[in-house]
Amino acid sequence: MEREVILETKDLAKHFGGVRAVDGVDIKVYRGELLGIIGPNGAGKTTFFNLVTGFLKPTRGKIIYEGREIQGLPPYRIARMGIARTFQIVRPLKNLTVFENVLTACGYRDYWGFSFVKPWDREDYLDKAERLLREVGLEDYAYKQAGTLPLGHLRRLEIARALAIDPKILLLDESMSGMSVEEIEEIKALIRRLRGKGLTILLVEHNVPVAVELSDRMYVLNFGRIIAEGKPEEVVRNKSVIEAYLGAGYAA
Amino acid sequence: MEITAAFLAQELITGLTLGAVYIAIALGLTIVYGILEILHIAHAGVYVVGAYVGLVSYVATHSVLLAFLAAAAGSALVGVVIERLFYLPMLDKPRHIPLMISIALFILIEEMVANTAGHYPKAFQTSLPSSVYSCCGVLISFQQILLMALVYALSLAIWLIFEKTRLGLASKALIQDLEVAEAMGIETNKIVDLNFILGSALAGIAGMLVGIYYGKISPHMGDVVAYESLVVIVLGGFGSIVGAVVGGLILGVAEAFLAAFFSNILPRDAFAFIVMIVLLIFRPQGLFGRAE
Repeated sequence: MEREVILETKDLAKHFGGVRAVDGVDIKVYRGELLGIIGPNGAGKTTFFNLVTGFLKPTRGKIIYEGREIQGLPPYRIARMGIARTFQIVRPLKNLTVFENVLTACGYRDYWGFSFVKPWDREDYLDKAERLLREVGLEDYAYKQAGTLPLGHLRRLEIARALAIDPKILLLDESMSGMSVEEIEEIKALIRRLRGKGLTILLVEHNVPVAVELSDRMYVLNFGRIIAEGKPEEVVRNKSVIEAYLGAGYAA
Repeated sequence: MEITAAFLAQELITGLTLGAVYIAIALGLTIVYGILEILHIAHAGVYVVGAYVGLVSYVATHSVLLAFLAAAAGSALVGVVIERLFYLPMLDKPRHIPLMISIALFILIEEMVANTAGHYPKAFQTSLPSSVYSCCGVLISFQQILLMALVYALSLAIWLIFEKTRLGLASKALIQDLEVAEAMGIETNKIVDLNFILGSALAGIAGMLVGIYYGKISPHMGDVVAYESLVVIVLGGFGSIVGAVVGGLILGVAEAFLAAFFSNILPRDAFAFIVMIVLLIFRPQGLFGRAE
């Protein structure tokens, strides 16, 4: 069966002055898969994410999403087309409650014109925000200020907020970093559940074992270029991948 | 000087009037700072534009209501143009760059107004009653009542918009993290526009109200207001709406009383800046802000 490509980049590059953070990346994301992107520090993973979500404009190359070129579009348009993201360093709206954080995202289309003074409809917004909080297991914290939550909860809040815009692709930027073993298990279970519902997930991870365990397929990025692609177990045995992580000479 | 209850009440009214002017300017300033982290000095220029558009419209139509609407619309337009041309394109630059641009714009606006309308004050006489009401020895003019009633009502309206509406929730999201709001699919530029429209219209209405209150306007009426409104947002905490209102009230009332008791020692405006310096050193988050 021919699989459908939902997102594709062609020769995507971003240079900061002389630094080639992303330097000619071609990847394909198939609908419904959980694609991992790993790479050592500074490999260009977060820059790649910022390009796909519109927060950075590429130096060259194309990003094709559902058959449309989206490079150069403003981030809100890309988000509305169905590409949602989380941030590597959690960015809760600290002074709002957990519920308001999700509600704000649920209402993303409706802040303009006269709808801005309308109350929030129960079924369209309030119920949805509650359902999303239950989905990520934060329903007991709904009315706490987001700034008071521990990191593990904030990562789940970021995922709930991303889900609020009904994405077709979810981009998770290092959702495991800085968390305890139990918190990582919770996030892994959540990611598997979302994938089970048919959501396409792009997982950028520094934590290689977690990425190997979760991903259907993997790319390895180093110095802004793809150095390996394939099944996770095969990719991590690849000589150039081991060298990228440990330096030349370690690959047996 | 005999200190009586009537004397104190009279100074309180002076202070509340002064405070209303500060609040009307500081609200826009604090919202802009909250969202873009830009010190919008040119906001005081928007206030001057409001006063002049109000006067020209009043002369043309002889309707105070139409003049208020024109002042609000004219100021909102100038505010949004500044935002779109000079602030949004500067968001990835260090913050001193839009600050310098804003100072330049403020001077430019005042000089352009002076060039077009004349450097000297212009009388702002309207058909509104010029009655002064007296109660238990305390005097209050119709103009003072109008100024306070309008500014306090509009400030309440802005607070309600922030606390009770979708626009308010979106604006609060922007104040905390513009990029996160954008990643949520919120068209942040439009939310910023709406906030500039609200803040600038309020400043323009205040400009015209002050013109009616003093019976005259001048191209440099924004100077003292520009500096005093900075003190207000330092007092109230940058980006805080309630802080701007409380800060404006405190500053207005304190200035009125200090002028009444100590004007021989310090000029009225000096007090504000001493308070600002002390606060910035010891409590930079303002009286109501929380330390980060």
